[in-house]
This record gives sequence, C-alpha cells and structure tokens, in this order.
Amino acid sequence: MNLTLYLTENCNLRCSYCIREKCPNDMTSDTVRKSVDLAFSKGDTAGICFFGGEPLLKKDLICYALDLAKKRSEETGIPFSCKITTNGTLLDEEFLELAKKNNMQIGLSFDGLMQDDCRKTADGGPTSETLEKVSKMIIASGADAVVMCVVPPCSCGKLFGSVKYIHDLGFKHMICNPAYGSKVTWTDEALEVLKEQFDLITDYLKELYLKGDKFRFAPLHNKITENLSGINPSRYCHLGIRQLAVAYDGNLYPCTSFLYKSEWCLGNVSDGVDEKRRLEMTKLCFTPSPCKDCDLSKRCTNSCGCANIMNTGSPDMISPLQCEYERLVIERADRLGDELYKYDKDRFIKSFRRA
Amino acid sequence: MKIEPKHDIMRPAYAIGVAIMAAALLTGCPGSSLSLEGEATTAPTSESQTRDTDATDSTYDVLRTDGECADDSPELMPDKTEESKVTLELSGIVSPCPNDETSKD
Repeated sequence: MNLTLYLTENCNLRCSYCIREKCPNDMTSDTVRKSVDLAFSKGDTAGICFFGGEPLLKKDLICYALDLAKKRSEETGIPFSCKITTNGTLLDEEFLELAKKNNMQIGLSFDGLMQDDCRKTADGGPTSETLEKVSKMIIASGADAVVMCVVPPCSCGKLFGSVKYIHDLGFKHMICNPAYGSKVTWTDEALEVLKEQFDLITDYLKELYLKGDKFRFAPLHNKITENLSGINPSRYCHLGIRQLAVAYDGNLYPCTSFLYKSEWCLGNVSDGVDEKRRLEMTKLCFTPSPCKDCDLSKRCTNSCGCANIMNTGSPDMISPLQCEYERLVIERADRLGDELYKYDKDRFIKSFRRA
Repeated sequence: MKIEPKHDIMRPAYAIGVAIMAAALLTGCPGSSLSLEGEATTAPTSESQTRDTDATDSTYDVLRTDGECADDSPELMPDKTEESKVTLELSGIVSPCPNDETSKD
C-alpha cells in the first residue's frame, strides 16, 4: 500500500499561504519502521512519499526508511516506489545521489518568479536565489524532478513569466495550482488576471509543442490527456483508498489535510488500518449536487472529497473558486488541444492519449 | 466567483477526431494511419514522445487547502490490489462517484 509519511511538523520556511502549524514534532525511527512494514503488509506494491513540514530536515529518517524498504522489497518481491515533496532549500548533491539511486521522484515546491512574494525563510528572507541554484543542480544531476508551483492571488500576474522561467531552467514538468485556504483571498479581479495568464501560457505551450519541446504543464496538458483517455481527474483523491497519511505520531489519516483531526483517524501504524472506517470515508468522494448536471462534471476535480470538505465543509459542495478555476482551465486546455490536433493528428494522439 | 454548471458544451474537435480515429481502428476501416499499438506511422521520426513519458500526473491537480496539493503527490505507484478491493466492497453498497474509475488506475 502507499503511505505519505509526515516526517516532521517543522519547516525552515514560512510561506505566507501555508496553513500548517510549525512545531518541533518529528517522527521517531520506530514509527518509520512500522510505517514501512505497513506499506509492505498489504497490496501488490509499496510506496512512500516523504512529506512534512520540510522532510529534508529529517534526512536520517529518509535514509532509514529507504534502507528498510529495500530490504523488505527484496524479502517479499513487492516493488517499491518513493517520492519526496520538498521546498528544495536543503537539497544537496549527496541527497540527489540518494534520490537517483532509489529512483525517487522529487516534487520541488518552487513558485518561479513568484517565489519571493510568499516563500520566505523563517526570518522573512528571500529564497529565490537558493531555489535557482538548487534547480540548476537538480537539472545537472539528471534526477527525476517536477516543479510544483502554487499561485497566490497577489502574484498571479507573474504566472506566465514563471512558467517560462521554469522551462528555461531546464525542467520538463511543471504543475501549478492556485493557493487555497484561509490565508488567501481570491477576488474576481485576480481571477481575471489569472485567466489572462493562462491565455498566454496556452499560446506558449502551443509554441513549444510545435518546436518539438516536451515540456509538460499541468493542469492544461492533463486535461487533454484525461479527456482523450476517459480518465477521471478526481481519481487521485478517493479518501483513504489511494494512499494513507501517517502523522508524526504514527496515526493514520485519509489525507494530510485531515492530520490530527481525531474524527478522521483511520488507525495507527502499530495497530493497523481501521478498514471499516476507511470504507466509510471512501463514500465521501462523489460528484457534489451542484455539479451533477454540468457538462464538465466528468472532466473536473469536483469529486475530490478531501478538497470539498476542506474548502466548503461538505463533500456535497464544491467551492466557487474551484469551479471557476476548473472552467477556465478546461476551456483553455480544449483550445490548446484543438490547435495541436489540427497541426498533426497522429502526433497529437501519440502525445496525449493514454492506453 | 460563482458555481456555474455548464450546459450544451460542444465536445472539442480533438476529442471527436480522436474518437473517430479510434473507432476506425476498431472496425478495421482504412484511413487511419495509426497502428494497433497506437504508434503513429506518419508521425515525424524526430518525435520520440511516448505515452509513458508524456503522461502527465494530475495528482498535483487535486486541490488542497494549503495550495500545496502535495500530501500524496507526486503520485506513487498505484496499488491495484488495495484500490480494487475497496472499490469492490463499495459496489452494490453505494456509488460514491459516478465517474469513478478507481479500479482503472
């Protein structure tokens, strides 16, 4: 089974849109060991995503988990995969070597030209210079990395420039999402700016594609792939099915959004998963009432129970921002898809359709 | 900002075109240049993109309250046994998501 390990609640950055409390609570090596055992105890694969806080504050635990997982994989024959989500500021050559050796994908939280607007050090200092250096180091190392960019309303006018910047640094895959939560407020005006930025990005992606560039940008490219392949964009949520989150204290939750909320606890790495409770939670992933007759329903992330509960308090309600954002993205993805399809149909299918 | 269900939206041309080509393949109708494996026979030879490398990961699209959408991403290898088991248990009890394809992953 797949687990997200919340290795620490501590972080060396203080991003203005982050809603997580920064506490000196770290996972123990015993909890890490039990987590690895749990990952290999069920299912036909085992996977671990290292998360936090900033997981690289606990490199020792990551190394320990990887060693254990390697042994378990050899013993059981169960394939193991691993990933990390990091702000990148503590990445070094040594860790990149480790990542490569273990086929670990690096999810680099990096906001491009928007970086210094929100992603700051604990004493309020900028981080863009460090991230640029780290990015060059990652690219030079050949490690498998994807840039994860959060777009806050205050900086969304820099999104297009950020996409170009990330591309020009040499990354091949970028994912962006709007900042959500109690620390940000999206206005209609900011949303208009975001739409204009997505128009520019759409044109830019077309230009890159026609040049043969393989740069991938989510969500626009995804929406095309999902539409062609009949993939449900909400499939990654499914509270508690796809993977479970392990808190620093070993308690299990359907997602890190619900950490430490006792009503969402699904057991503990010592005692195992409460399957009955897990099954109940999976029922909270469904198409919300307002979306049921929408033509875009099956192309939208509306049935992500986690997002709906966190943003609206109910699994049966989508947030207006999510609805607006999904519509703007799908509209532009379809424009991009139509233009690329017209250019070369076979190449288009080969590029975007999944078996 | 508002929740605005959309109606009467036309299917994009690329989706229609690809569906027609796929149907032509299934019926053996000549006219499609695609092989059964989906390899383009007329694609530029310099185009080395494959489905695997092109596949984008929408794990990150899942919206999170902290905007980081990173708790369970990057996507780990899908655990089909676990997912299909839960999906199976759900079937007949409740249809949690009509467009759900949990077992597909």
